[in-house]
Amino acid sequence: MDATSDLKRIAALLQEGSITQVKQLTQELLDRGASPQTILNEGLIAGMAVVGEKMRSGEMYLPEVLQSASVMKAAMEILQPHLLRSGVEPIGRVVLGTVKGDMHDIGKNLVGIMLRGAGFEVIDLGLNTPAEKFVEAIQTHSPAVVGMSAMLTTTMLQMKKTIEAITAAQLREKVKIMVGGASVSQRFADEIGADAYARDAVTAVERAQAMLA
Amino acid sequence: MTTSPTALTPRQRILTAMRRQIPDHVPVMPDISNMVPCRLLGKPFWEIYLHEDPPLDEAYLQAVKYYGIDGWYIYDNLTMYEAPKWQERILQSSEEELQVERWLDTPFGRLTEVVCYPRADPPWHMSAMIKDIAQDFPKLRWYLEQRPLEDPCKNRGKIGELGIYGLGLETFMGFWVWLREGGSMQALRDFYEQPELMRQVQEYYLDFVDRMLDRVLPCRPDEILINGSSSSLSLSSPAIYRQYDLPIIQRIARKCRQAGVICHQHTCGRSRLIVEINYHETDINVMEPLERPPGGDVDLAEVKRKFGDKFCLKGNVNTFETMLNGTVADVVREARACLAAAAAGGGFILATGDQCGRDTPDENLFALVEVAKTHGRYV
Repeated sequence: MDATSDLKRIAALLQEGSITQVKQLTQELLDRGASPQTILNEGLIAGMAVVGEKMRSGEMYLPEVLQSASVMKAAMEILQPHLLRSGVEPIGRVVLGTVKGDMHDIGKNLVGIMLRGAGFEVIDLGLNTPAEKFVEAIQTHSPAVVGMSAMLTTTMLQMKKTIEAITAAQLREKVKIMVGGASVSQRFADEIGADAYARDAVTAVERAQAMLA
Repeated sequence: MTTSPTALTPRQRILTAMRRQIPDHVPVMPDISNMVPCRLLGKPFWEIYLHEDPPLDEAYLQAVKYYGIDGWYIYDNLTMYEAPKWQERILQSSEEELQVERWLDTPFGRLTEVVCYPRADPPWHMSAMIKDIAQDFPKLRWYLEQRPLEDPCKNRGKIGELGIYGLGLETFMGFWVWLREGGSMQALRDFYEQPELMRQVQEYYLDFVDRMLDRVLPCRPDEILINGSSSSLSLSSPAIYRQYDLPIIQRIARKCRQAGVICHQHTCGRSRLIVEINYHETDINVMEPLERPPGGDVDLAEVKRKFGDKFCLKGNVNTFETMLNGTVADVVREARACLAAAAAGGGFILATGDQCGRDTPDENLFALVEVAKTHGRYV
């Protein structure tokens, strides 16, 4: 089979959640001299892009998306040393977290999965993340984008406090800020001075890509 | 269809609708089972959830009277029933929250969990019971087998005719997400990563549910409520639902039918496909909350048309857009649309598309009640 067919096969197997086969095929392609960046872009990222579209259309469900993400992670463990040797960088770095007081992390995790699937490096601060932890993460990791998630109307106000803390630390000009979550809207994002609002994980990827452009 | 000629008590009204008959007016049961009653009391939420001052069920009953809704007592949960009592100590205390470590010594070792009690939100698990399935499951199984349940319906008198008395059971996903360290994401991974262990856990839970039902159905609660929030297709998948949840739901619903007790399933978020599966493959009587987009995927008129000959439908005024952030006019508009879609012929309960948020304005809840009592009148 030629490399193009194998790349398409990787993308298809990733959608099916077939870890063993994707790992095997990734290794075979590397052994045959394929570029790690091509495997990443045309196999794994292409497959995750389809996963995202299928999730948005309702054709795929969260557990299946999680499984595809596990496949991508397993294949990346094989690819990563080769990518590093080739000097290939992630397309951007994103710091993500669910804001202070909020313990809901499914949406945030899904955004992380889809961002990684699109080639971003993701620093996940977890749930119940205070403003100062976001500030610290920006200072440590210099991300291009900060993503905040809130499920509750009570905790979404923490997004405003976090943006204020980022501004007070004189970091606001260095990052783009994206917000999302069940209680959040475009209007709220505008009110608190966020750069973008994403209503779902696929949109979050599109917004992050657009902010890097 | 039979029509009730005179004014009914809330309990009679709900049971009439749940039997797909026509009550005096459409019952109105917004889901305010947690946050709204706590907010009404004006206390830190931990006073209610941790110190039981007052217990949550009493707070809810006060809210039922305050808003004039048809009540729904769902505080006796057979899966999460706490006996024997756990020991506990406060790990951290601040103005904002209490963190409480809880533990129970079993013959197989200690079960532990850490619960965070925020000042103004419901508690959540910082650390859950099952950290390692193989090690912790025997401890849990021992714990679940200790509950005495001498009088499973002992709290029935608390609600009386203010509403119905239900006993709750979790779906398998609900059971597992409640127990599992790492929450729903780890619970989902378990199905892929440890399928044999999960099969054993499911087998045990099916047997547990079976035995629980044999003990509680003779006391004839008004309903058995299957709590299936975590079985929502916003979190789960049709494949997982079919493999892990459906066999248990089928068992519960069949036993309820044989005992003449109503069986009611709550599954919020994306649930349209679950309604259809349950219609064809279970003996469920009531489906709720039939959440519409953006959180869910249910078109109330469509499910009434296709599945209303079997199910009493309960729903589905949107909790975020309408109840929490909308105006009274928005509530009236959407509630009337729900009545237009599903009230004809009975078998409909006006409710919210999931649990109402803490800051849901009182006037919106009063408006919902008023719509049911005026525009939802059958006689």
